[in-house]
Amino acid sequence: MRNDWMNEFPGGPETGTDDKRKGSAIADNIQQLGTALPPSPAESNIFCMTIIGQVEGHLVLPPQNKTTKYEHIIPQLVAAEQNQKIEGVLVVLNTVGGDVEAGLAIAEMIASLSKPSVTIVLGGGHSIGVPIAVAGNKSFIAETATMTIHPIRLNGLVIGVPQTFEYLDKMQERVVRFVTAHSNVTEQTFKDLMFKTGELTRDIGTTVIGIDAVKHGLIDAVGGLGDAIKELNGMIEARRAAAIPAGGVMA
Amino acid sequence: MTLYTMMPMELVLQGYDDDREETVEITARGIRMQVVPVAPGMGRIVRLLDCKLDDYLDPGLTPGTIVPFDGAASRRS
Repeated sequence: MRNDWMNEFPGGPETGTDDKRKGSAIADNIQQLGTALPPSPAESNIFCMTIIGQVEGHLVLPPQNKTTKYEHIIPQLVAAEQNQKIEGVLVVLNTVGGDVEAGLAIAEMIASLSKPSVTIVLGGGHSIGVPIAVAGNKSFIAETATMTIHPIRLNGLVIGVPQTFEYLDKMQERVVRFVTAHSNVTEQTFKDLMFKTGELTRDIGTTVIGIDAVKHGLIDAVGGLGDAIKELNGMIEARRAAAIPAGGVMA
Repeated sequence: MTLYTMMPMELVLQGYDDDREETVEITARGIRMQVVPVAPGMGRIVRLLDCKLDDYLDPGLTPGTIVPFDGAASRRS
């Protein structure tokens, strides 16, 4: 339809010469974008990954949930690791939690990247978002962002036997071990936060806000996007300077 | 499967037993993918099934993106 309209004017797409075609491309841009030159995206050496809503794992969640699909995130991380143009990964989190397996898988993938990675918690990084938030080389939390640390609950059919508790404890231990290994929080502090009573209205656990997450050693620093990008660029520069072979560890 | 979320479980799983949107397997831009048909020849990407590694970095192939496809090549799944 647009082409029909364009044909009535000289320089329309069907009128022939290259110059005229070029003219029509500009006319197209003015018509569609309000500017003669289309914004040309500069290629970035940073790969930005956003983890939002529920981390969706083995179960497809009902449509009212906004989800981050692990089957897309995991190969994305592989591609980011492999792609030579990508020099650093920025993980932006605003998640309410989700599947334990999927969350831990993503966290492990981020932690084992050979390229520098920085995580930033904006809004919230709750439950299984916590291991993902601490997985990067350096973690940031926005001043107003929150993280809820609470025990894992079982859903579905629960058999009332001691083994059920042991299983739950094991699942919890996986999260605790990952978080304590990848952040400065001690196991005791993290468990204290996890099992605290009187803090949450419907659950046991704690909500830590911005600076508190840093005080407990869970997150490295309070900061926003600028701080995160600056830190990541610094790491990229350092990595370039040191020319660490693939698989090298960045501090 | 263990859900570890601060959202109330009844809210997350509400409507879990309801009928889900039907998906079809199609080939668009040379990539095998699963989509929810939204209009004839248009689908919303659910997941990529067979593609090159770098295709995962293409924002135009993120789940939730609308892609045009040739209707004849689709298969209900």
